[in-house]
Amino acid sequence: MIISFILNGNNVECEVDKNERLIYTLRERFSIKSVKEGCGIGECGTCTVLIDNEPHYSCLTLSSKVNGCDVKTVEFLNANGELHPLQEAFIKEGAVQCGYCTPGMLLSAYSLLLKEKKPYITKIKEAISGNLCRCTGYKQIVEAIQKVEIYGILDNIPSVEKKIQPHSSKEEILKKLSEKKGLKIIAGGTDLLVKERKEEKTHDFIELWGLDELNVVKEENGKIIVGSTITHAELNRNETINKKAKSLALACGMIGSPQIRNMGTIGGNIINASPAADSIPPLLIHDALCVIESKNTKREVALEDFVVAPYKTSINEDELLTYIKITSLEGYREGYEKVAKRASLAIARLSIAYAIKEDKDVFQDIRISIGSCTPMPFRPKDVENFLKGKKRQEALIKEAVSMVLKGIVEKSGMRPSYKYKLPVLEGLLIKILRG
Amino acid sequence: MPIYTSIDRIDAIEKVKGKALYAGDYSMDGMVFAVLVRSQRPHAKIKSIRIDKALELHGVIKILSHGDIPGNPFFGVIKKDQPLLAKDIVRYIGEPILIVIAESEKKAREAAKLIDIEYEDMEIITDPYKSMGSSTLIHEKGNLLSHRKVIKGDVEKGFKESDVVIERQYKTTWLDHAYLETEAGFGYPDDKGRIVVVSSTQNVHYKRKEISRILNIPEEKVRIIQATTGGGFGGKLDLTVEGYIGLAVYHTKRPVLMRYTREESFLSNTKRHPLYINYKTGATKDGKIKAIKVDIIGDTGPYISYGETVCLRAAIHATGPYEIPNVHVDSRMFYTNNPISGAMRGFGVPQIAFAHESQMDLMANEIKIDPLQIRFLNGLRRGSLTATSQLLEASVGYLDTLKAIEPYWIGRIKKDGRGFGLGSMFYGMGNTGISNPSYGILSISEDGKILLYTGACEIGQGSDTVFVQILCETLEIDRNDILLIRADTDFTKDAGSTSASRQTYISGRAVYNAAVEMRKFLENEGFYKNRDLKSIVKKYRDKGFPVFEGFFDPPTTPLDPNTSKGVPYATYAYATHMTEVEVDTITGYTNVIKVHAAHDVGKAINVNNIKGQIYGGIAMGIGFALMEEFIPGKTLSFDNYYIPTSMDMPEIETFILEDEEPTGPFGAKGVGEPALIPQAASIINAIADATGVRVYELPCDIERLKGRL
Ligand SMILES: Cc1cc2nc3c(=O)[nH]c(=O)nc-3n(C[C@H](O)[C@H](O)[C@H](O)COP(=O)(O)OP(=O)(O)OC[C@H]3O[C@@H](n4cnc5c(N)ncnc54)[C@H](O)[C@@H]3O)c2cc1C
Ligand code: FES
Ligand code: FES
Repeated sequence: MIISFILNGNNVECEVDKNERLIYTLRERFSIKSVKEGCGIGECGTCTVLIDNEPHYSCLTLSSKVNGCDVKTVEFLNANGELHPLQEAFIKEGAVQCGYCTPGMLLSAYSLLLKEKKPYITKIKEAISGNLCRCTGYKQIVEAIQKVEIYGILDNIPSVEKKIQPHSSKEEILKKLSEKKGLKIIAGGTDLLVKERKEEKTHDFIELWGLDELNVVKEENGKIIVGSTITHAELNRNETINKKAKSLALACGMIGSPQIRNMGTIGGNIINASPAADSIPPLLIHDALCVIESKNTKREVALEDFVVAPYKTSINEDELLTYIKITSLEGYREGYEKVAKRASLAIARLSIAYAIKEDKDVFQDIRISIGSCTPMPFRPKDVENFLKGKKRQEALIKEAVSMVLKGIVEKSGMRPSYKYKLPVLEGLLIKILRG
Repeated sequence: MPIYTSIDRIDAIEKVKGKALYAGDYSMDGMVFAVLVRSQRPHAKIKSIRIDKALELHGVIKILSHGDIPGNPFFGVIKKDQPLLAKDIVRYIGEPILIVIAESEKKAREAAKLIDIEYEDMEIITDPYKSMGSSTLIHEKGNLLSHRKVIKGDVEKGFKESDVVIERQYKTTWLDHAYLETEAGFGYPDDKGRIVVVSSTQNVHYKRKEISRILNIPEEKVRIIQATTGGGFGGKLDLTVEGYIGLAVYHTKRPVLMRYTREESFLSNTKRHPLYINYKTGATKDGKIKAIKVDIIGDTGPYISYGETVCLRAAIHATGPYEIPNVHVDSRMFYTNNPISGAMRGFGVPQIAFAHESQMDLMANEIKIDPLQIRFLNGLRRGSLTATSQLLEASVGYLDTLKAIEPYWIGRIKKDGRGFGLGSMFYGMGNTGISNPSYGILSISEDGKILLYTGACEIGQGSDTVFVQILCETLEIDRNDILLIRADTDFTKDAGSTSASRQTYISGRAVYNAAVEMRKFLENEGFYKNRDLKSIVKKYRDKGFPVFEGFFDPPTTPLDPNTSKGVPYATYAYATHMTEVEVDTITGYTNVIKVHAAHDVGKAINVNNIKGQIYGGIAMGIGFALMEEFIPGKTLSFDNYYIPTSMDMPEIETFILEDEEPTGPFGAKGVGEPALIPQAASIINAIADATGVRVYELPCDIERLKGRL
């Protein structure tokens, strides 16, 4: 197919193969060698490019996705022939050693600076947390970003001229799904394209990008409706979600890295149905209903019934997950705990979403959901009910927690990983219930 | 310009612009791609290989095997024991068997998948203790690669004189260098019919020798040029892609590109040796260490690589930076069918430092003496004798590193869940007990630029910049008047490898020596009395411009084969790190809060570079201590090999100390490896301080720590 997009400020057009990845298009068709493949599976950041000024991994981006978009590589920064203050800062502060991570790192930093001219150190660290560097220990990189002002005036946000064009409509997609077998829906591609590489196979994709009708968060009849193509980054910053479904906002903010959050969608997270999926535990405590549509049917299924096994939902080949409806829990004490081996780019070893409504130490309502422990994230509803209406007391908490643990072992037997997970779960649940 | 002010890295501009060309970025008309077909078995006979389906694939040019190697089919840094392509037997998962060459990378990989290899499995050895004395032999000569001893005094007597004896077992695992750039290279036949290979490497001259042997052509028919290299850490010392590219160019006469995927890199690069260490320390009540007895067992995998080096270096450094009168170290490396272990930042010393620093804290705790105090009491100083009975005469800044840390150590305030730990180290600069010379060559170009020819590979650590600074300082010239010609076998002399923290010290000194000679010449020519280079050049245009060669080989002596007595290194670097951690006892998660790092670098030539090395070393030390673990057969890529991200990094304060080394350039030593070595140990000691629980096996990840809490 032929795609046209803006590359470092210039309108370009080129022919790309089906399933071609943006990293390949940029390196091989445009000879932009600053975009590098350090892993090919979204885990290192050397392939980072900006799409509409937000960092993305080009190794997990199909080229067709940038049709009509604004794409920037590091060459953009000094396109006018002069080093950008950020590049200057990297040189002066010693932020460059072997330099292999540098182009991607600069782009992540640049994207942050477009949003915030004087970011705090924690913000900076987070913004570059999807870009690994093996040489520098990141410190001089962080310092360079902090001190960028010394090296020149930051330009204003370069305008992003075009938005992703709708490739098709929901109706069209449903029609195609009904007509042709074996099509694979692709949203962010962050699960699928990794799988393609690992399993060494290719799919016949049907693309969801640019579907404005699914790209929404709205409230209707007391429910919050989240479109399936909403990304984790959008959910993390969405006001309604932060107010009424805090644990979901928090969980989405902990997924992968900034790049993964800009790419991955909530729909993909649900359909992939990993036991460690971060959005599922919060969705469960918000009584999520999945709206599943095909050309001629539309059904609503509770998320807890929809995920039927690890990595498996009850969706049919011709169906599309269009929306997720969730209950608002405004006024609850909500949170999300994610246990992982490192601070960013880490899959949960264990996770807990919770929402608790208390009145004078009495549990009015309590919702807990546990991920990455049993084959599917689940809510220990018996324990929730047991606690409801009771007054918070140490003995009660202990009893409730031991019920949870017992329930898990009864349900899935004693697994080797439980030697670690159960004591951690116990400790965290006690902490959460104590408040 | 004082030498200790940092200048900007000379290679940074091209890197921030994205213009620097790494090996995998090259292309040329008519270029083909080579990929390897690797063993899927850890130990097996190759029964048959079927390549017909692959050959039929459109775009496939050639498939090369063991039989296509015209010269010596074995290679190796220390001994030539590793088959370039396996012949009848494979000894680890990932061992290369065939090279597939095709018009595109995609085609080559597709073809590789069509090749059928039938194996007959043999018994596998996955553990050095099983390797020891096993009747299954990985090589005919037996499964023990090397056994080195370090003996000083009488340990039995030393333990008798001790009031307290502590003995513990430590274990470390495989680590991957995880440089962001995977192994890659690009080769082509030049117009004189020579073979040129541009690659991501830490040593061009060694690789030229190997290719010449493999292809059975004279060395002058091979040219190796270092491409901009995206990190090395020891993993690009061995021959990686170069041998295959050389062979592919030889057979196809076309330009050839080869780059490992991340998965291939994980599968094939040499790992940090897992060491099993039994460490026994005896000390008197007042904190004097009287004796240590240390047993080191290492898993070297099926081929040598740097196994012998690591075996010896770990043994020599087993004391840590302490003067101990009675020492007995046995260090043994065994072959297994695990991944090949080789050189990785520190050559076994980070592992042994984890043990000796844990022992120091255990001892301090047992005899109730402050951990800093016990280090001070026993620390190496001028006049000390090391375990190899080497007398330390100059540049022994260990105690200074302790003094730099002392105010923070004394002033530490322990908060709930937090703890502090110390880690110290010493590290010999350069290769162990053997000659390891380097050269620097200077000349002047027609247009009046100073030309520096150095064989030293810049792998990100900053040697290019340091050499330029040495020239600026010695010759009093501007950096813009210097042109660096680096790591190209056509133009430079062998500078040895970029490893063992030796380039600033050794090649830096060689460059300095050349500069001193050139300075004399320039003085005679009136350069320092307002005569510029251009007019000097004019005078020599016809008779040819003189060339100044600097040479340096650090003074060492061979070591006694039974006791290792001798001078393994001309000088040592010293460091102490103090680390504060916070441990979440519910999850076992350790958050590293702050590190104070004090290093005796001899002389700081480039402060920014030194800090960069220290910060990077700390990051790698955090990985080593808390998360990094390569699991053979399971680890494939970065999704199950975690290295620290920006969000895992602590606050860091550095203290750069300068106890000048008389043989170093301006007194400089090295810092690349020292930056990493004490870090893991200081974290483990801090965790023990925070929780009362000590971990003896790395990584101390959330599960391992929780299991002990
Ligand atoms: C480096 C990295 C880190 C990651 N870290 C995390 C993490 O911390 N936590 C976490 O939970 N996940 C993580 N993931 C997994 C992944 O990013 C998420 O699961 C993400 O939400 C998937 O969304 P996507 O849009 O990219 O899905 P895609 O890959 O596009 O699709 C995933 C699956 O869903 C199907 N699908 C997508 N949308 C629909 C729809 N609307 N209707 C029907 N079927 C659909 C696809 O056909 C496919 O089977 C990580 C992935 C990577 C590569
Ligand atoms: S290449 Fe590593 S994230 Fe894309
Ligand atoms: S500078 Fe080498 S990976 Fe960042």
